Amino acid sequence: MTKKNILLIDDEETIQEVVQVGISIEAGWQVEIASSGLVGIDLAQNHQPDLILLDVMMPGMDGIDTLSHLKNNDKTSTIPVIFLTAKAQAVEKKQFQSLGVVDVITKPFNSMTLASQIAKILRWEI
Amino acid sequence: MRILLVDDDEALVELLTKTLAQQNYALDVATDGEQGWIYGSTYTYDLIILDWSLPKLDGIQLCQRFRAHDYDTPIILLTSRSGSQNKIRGLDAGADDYICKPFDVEELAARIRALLRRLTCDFLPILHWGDLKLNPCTSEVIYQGQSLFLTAKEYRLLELFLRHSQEVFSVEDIIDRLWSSTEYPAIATVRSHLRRLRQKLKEKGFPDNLITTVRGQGYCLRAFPEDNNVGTDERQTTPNTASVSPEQPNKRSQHIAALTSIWSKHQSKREQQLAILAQAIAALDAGNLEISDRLSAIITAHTLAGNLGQFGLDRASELAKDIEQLLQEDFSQDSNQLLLLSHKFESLRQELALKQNIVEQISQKFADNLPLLLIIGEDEQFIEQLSSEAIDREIRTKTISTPEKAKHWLEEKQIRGEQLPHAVVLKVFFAEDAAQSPTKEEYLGLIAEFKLLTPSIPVIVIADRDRFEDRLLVARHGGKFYLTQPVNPKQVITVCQKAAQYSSLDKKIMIVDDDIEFLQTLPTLLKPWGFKLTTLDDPRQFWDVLQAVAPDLLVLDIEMPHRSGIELCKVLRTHSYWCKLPVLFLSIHRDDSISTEVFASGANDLVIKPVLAQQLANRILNRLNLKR
Repeated sequence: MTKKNILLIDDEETIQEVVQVGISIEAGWQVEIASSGLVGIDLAQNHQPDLILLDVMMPGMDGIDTLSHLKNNDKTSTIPVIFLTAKAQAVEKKQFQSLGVVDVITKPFNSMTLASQIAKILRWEI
Repeated sequence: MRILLVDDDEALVELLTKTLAQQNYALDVATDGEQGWIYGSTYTYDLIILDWSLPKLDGIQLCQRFRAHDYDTPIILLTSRSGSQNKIRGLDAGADDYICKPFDVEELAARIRALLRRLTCDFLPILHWGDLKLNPCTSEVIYQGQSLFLTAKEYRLLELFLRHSQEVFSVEDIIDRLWSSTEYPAIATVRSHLRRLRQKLKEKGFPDNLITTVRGQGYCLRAFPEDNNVGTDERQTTPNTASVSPEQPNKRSQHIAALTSIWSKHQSKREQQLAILAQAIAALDAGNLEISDRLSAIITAHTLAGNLGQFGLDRASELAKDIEQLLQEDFSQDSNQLLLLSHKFESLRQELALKQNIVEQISQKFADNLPLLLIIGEDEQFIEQLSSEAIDREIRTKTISTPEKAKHWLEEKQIRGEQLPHAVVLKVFFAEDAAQSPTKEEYLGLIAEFKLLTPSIPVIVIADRDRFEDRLLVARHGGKFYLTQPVNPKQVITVCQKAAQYSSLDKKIMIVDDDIEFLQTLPTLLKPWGFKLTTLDDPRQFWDVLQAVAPDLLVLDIEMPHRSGIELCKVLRTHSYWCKLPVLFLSIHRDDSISTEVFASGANDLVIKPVLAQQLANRILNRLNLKR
């Protein structure tokens, strides 16, 4: 089992804590937090996480803009990104996927199964 | 493992007999189709190899006859007829694999191993029992890092028990499985092989008898001890069933405690958020809500909706979502909207005041999301053991005593649109008893009810005896697994997890086709199977989307602008990670040369357009190994 490094980009403190608790307890992976898109891009470039969990609705640079920056940067373009969003309509999900995200996880999510949901999407072992 | 080879080519028979014997298979040979049928319908084989061109009854007819009589033994078809039309004919006749002559014997051996793995639902190439590992590719047995030197018969015995870890084998069963029909070993000979195998394992420091004697019935693999190694071992054999670890109940309480602490920490923040909403509603009522304040209230409601849902407060979360929505509307047009908004806000406040016991809410939320196992049967003691094991592995259970009640329960669930079980365990008594009620027919009828759902729900039958005719009945009705008592509840739950894991639900299918109209119809057509579809009409984005989606299966159109499907498939096969991804081609051509090119590029299947939804779904399921 490899210890994974996950970067969470989300401005909401409660979500940050819930994700951190869920992933570390359930899978033992490390979670790094960025409260904005800009900080997230910087951390992604320098720390090369195994996955970026990206909130869609954030003040300032939103998730879609952040994703665009990540995908246009050679250092971060290949890091898989999963969107976290309360917007769960099938059409929107499809639009998001066409932007190059691996998958979309809908808020609220079950923090107990979040890690296994990620593992299933990325074919990781827990 | 026992194999039937039906081929009249003497040189090939000689070569395969020698090669397969070296790889520890017991082989029976039939030289014409009718003889093949007699062997295949008389003895139990783990796999059948058929030549297409056979005297009396050709390979295709023989294959069709086996399938028509519900023999589900894996079949490999050998033939000198290349061309995809022939391959399609062979596969449609019921063959599981197809090899063109001349072929590499090593490739045939690898395909045999792959099919045998599929048969036992063990998708990893190495068989494990704790620190004991058996590698069928190299015929090597290793215990705690040391090689174990076994004779061919000892090796076959060990492999048999490792592959069928839930079954009890009588000496006669063992002879049937491991010796060819031309050999007649004495019972004492089999026992002697068993004794020597046990002795060798003991000499290597094996803790106790791996193969135990079940009084009056035969021999079976001992259940893996429920010590601290269990979780690790089962994770190795079932990589995606993360819930098998026995540490989980502790994890669960740890998790609930952490969430409770987060909830308490943010109590004052929630109160502030409610205050922001109350102020915004009051200002709206007074007609003086600034745009910036409205925006702030919308974001607050949005955040609240997301956060409350994380703690299992689903109704409160819904109310916050409604408030977010209402705040975006124009109140000058409809005064009732403001009333509705005030009402929703008051309901939210009350809901939060009522839900003081957050631990209970969080626990309930987790329970609702756990997989559901339906257990049907009247053996209360066994069902209790099974339920207890399931709960330990974070699986919810529903117990129903009779098939009639189960049918009624299923109907109710369907009418209400509620979640159906992920797997069903059905305890069936086959032993003759005229007065038995419910009858075994009622139980068997129930299997079909679950099988015919779309997507179907796997049924695992626990039977009181192991007879071929009973297995046949279960297979005919669509049962997924047949386990015979005595069986360890831990093993039953592991089998259920495996069965549920290979459901079509949420399997990721990526379809690349430049026909946009066709792509648009697919989500609706394939909806009943629960696949997660990703469609792509521009093959130039293929690699990026493939990496991002990581599909379980790929569907490619042949002719597309910029990059053909064949080119994409060839690229895929050069990549170490993607080289084994199942690829299914779509084509409007029935042309042999194109089909040959398709298979040569590394395709696994070819479907001719126009495609029917059922046909495409079945081909996808077949390629995902979900049907058998």
